Amino acid sequence: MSRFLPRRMLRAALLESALYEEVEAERRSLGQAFVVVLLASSAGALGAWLGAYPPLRIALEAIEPIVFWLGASLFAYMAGATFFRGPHTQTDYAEVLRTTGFAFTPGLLRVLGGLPAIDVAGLHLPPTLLSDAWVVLASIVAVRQALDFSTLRAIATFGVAYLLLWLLLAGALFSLPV
Amino acid sequence: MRSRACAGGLLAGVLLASAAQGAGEIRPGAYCPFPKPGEKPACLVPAKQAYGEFFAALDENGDVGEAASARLEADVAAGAGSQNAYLALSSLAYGYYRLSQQAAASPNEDPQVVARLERWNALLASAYAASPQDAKFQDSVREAALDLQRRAPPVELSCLDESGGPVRCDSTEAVVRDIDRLRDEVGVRGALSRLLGRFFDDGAEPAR
Repeated sequence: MSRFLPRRMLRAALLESALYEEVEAERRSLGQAFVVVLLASSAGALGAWLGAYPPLRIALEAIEPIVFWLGASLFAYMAGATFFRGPHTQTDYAEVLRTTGFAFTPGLLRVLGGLPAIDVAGLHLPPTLLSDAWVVLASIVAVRQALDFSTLRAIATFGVAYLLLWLLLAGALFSLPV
Repeated sequence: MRSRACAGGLLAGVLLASAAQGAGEIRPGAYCPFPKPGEKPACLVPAKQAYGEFFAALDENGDVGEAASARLEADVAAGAGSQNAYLALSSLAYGYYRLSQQAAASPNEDPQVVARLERWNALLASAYAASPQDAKFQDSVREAALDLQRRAPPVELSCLDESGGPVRCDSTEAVVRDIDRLRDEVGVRGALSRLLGRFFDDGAEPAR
């Protein structure tokens, strides 16, 4: 069981369930999970900077993974440990943070965000689409392993967590003075 | 093992496609960047055929009159709805570049050239705004404006700041800034983007 971070990141990107089980059980891997999220943030900010986007967009790219990690993990924990809990579900917030943090490994590809959009089969796709979709898939595996239930429940938990995070942010926006 | 191979193949494909786009090769229905010094503008050939009078006026007079630019400007203003959308955009960017070079080279700014560049800034902005259904064309307009901001000699023009007040800005600087502000995001990202904008009062990049 290697604790070498690049090796773990590679396994996380390849959606290896065993890796997510490993970090779920290992309390001290929270620091590594945080480093992975910071790397994804930095990659996004670098991509936006290379694409000559304004400072606000660069800040958004830098902050978004951290907000997602802390916020969506909290809501995934709340929903997964209550409404969607399975017979084997036994978890805490830190466990979810450890697994979902590693799920941000494909977020390193956000550095491509400065490139022009790609045309595939008549569709005009943003360059970060691949990394975003990959992070979503990895997050579903991470939630499934952290909460020890089925993939279907993990997808539902992820969807509810996303919706709750969006409502929280939209509510915060609404409550701020104009 | 198969999933690893698929993921690797997918990644390699995307990287290759991105690299190909970044190299600026000739593609139909795409913005043609104006040539670097000494480079043959091969991808501008169709644009030159479509707007012969515009390119001829640039080459012969060093400026474009109202008559030579009227059809081109109308096509740019129509945005993605124009049949010649990309040709018009590429031609305008080339003309902008040529006029910027002249303006930067002369000791006194020609008010006619300055007025034309200001009008073309407004045209680029309206081409972007007129094409909400065509993200590819919108990206091309941004690419053209960014290309001009980076590679054309800076010419001081009048433009508007975030609050609509008149300020001085270089070339397409304000066009790029406004396009980036117009790009709407949805979901969590959109809410987060608007929250950040609210906290920083959208004034993170004041116009100069």
